Amino acid sequence: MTMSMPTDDVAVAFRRTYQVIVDQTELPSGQLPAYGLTQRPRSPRHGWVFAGAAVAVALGFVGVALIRDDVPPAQSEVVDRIALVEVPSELGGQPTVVNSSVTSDGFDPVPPIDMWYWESGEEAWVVLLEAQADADLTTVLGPADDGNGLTAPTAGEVSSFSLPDTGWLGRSWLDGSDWRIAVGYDESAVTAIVEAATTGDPSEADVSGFDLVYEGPQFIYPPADVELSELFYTSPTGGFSVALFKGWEHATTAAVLRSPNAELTEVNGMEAVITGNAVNWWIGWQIDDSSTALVESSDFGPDTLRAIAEGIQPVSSDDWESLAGSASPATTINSRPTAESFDTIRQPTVLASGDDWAIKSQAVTTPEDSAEPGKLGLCGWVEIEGQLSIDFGCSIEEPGQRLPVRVSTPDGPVVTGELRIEVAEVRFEGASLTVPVTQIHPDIPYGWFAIQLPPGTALTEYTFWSSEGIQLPIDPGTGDQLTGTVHSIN
Amino acid sequence: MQPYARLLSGLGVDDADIWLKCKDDLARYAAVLIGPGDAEDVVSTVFLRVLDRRRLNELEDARRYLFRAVLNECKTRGSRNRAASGLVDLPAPQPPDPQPEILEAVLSLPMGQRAATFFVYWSDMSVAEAAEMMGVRPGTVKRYLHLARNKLKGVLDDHVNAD
Repeated sequence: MTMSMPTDDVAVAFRRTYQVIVDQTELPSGQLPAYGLTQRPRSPRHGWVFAGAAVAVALGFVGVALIRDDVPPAQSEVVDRIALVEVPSELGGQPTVVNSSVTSDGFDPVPPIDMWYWESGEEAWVVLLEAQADADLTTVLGPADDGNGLTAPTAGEVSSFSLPDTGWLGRSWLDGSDWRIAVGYDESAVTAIVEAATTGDPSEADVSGFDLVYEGPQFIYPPADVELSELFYTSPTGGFSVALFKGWEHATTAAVLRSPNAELTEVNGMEAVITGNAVNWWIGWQIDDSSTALVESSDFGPDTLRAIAEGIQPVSSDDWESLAGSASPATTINSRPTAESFDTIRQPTVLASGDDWAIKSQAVTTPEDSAEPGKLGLCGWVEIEGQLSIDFGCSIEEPGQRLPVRVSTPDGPVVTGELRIEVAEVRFEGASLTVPVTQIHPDIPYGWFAIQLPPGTALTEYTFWSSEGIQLPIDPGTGDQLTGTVHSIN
Repeated sequence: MQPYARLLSGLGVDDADIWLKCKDDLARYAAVLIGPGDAEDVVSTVFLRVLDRRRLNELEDARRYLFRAVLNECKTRGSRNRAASGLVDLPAPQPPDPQPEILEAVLSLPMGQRAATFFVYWSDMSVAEAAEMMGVRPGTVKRYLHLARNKLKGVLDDHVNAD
């Protein structure tokens, strides 16, 4: 005869067990820990790590990296700053730093997506994404079947899809209103993951030949504690930027899904990924155990970018500051909005303005000499005292990709963004404001909005509702951390 | 000689107060997630990483933020440990209470399940509160609790039957 334990006994067992563990814990002293702890070189990990995605926020693009960091390893020392040290001949001479920036605190207003990642061998892997709301994955992946190969899940069944450019297999389904997506190269593994996720805990999936190597939050943008440092260079043959995302190592599956043309390559023996779109090329790699380096240019192609990346090395903070301090803002290469990289077809529309500041949007088309000429898009940016302050970048035939952000202006906070809806409603501190979304071009079924909030408004909560009742949740915890950042996944 | 003078001198009174209030709870949490041996290092690493980029008193809820950061750090280390050796830092069983098989069963739970059971059963939080601390949905915590309870209940049943 089998006896069943009373329910409370289970809780008691947990409590007793944790008490034993806690009793064995050497609690930290009252003193604060030394700095040196964080400088301790970490042991290299093994196997493939789905790592190194990067969003060059200021320039409006997403890069990805599927990096194997066991052979060869990322640099063992923690990298604090990077710069171009060895100048490739393709640049036609010594480049000059024309601008610099350091940004931190809150790149990501989107809640992290839960991710499980299994790997087998060198290239076979499976990923499960769990979004907290359907809008989350829609926001980061783009609408289903909008060039990303994604299939919108339907209630009551698991939908299959494939990504022909990558060879990936995918499944999507709904858990209540939440999206679940599993993708990978191995059909039996994907099937096992789906089975585990739909019946129990994905962590306990029995996936033959695969090891679970990561479970946890997966940020589509760098999480709030990542610091981005960038140097913007100009050379006789063109401009480029060198960025370091310090403390951000995990790539976003969403970014990979959005970059079907991404190709693996190498930078100084380290695995890297290179990809591009109609305007930009970028190359990213994991430069140490927890940071991602990124080189981006709209002037150079993949070969030159790869050559530049080979010349990127860690530098001391003092050296970096010296380079940053040598910049001449009057000739910055990012003094013009990204919109001017395209063919502009209309004058900019002023969405909101005040004393020496304005938020603008403009319709553009991709240039005739681009890979995909003649495509419509929308751009947005902020000008303060006539100078470009924040560049939101441009979305080309990818509606609603500019997430709402909060911008500080001399006249108080403004929430602005691009939405494929008719009305934006911001709710804050028990009140709400509603404004129409301005359609910038008659052939583009989405537009920009800007809502000026009362000065001093603390955005403890703000939520956007579309005319179709679709909610775009914003992490309230980052409401005060969005100033000056750009969110774009073009 | 005060080895922490550099950090102390640059730390605001509020941040130091937050640290002192949270450090023990964070260490216990980290111990449950990854083992007592690494708990202090996890907490120190998290604290310094956060402090390197922001003031704690600027955070809306520094305590919650730090708990989430500890969970993420433990998950990262746990994954690395698992990938490297298949082992996570486990405390030595301390019979007779709890039984080694119970301790082993608890420590074999995925980290999310351990975090959920720690908050609900050891810290006496509600499901909603645990979800807030972990940065997940309440439904996720419920699922973690359900799965963790099922696993431990099976071990307890086996233990009773064996007796």
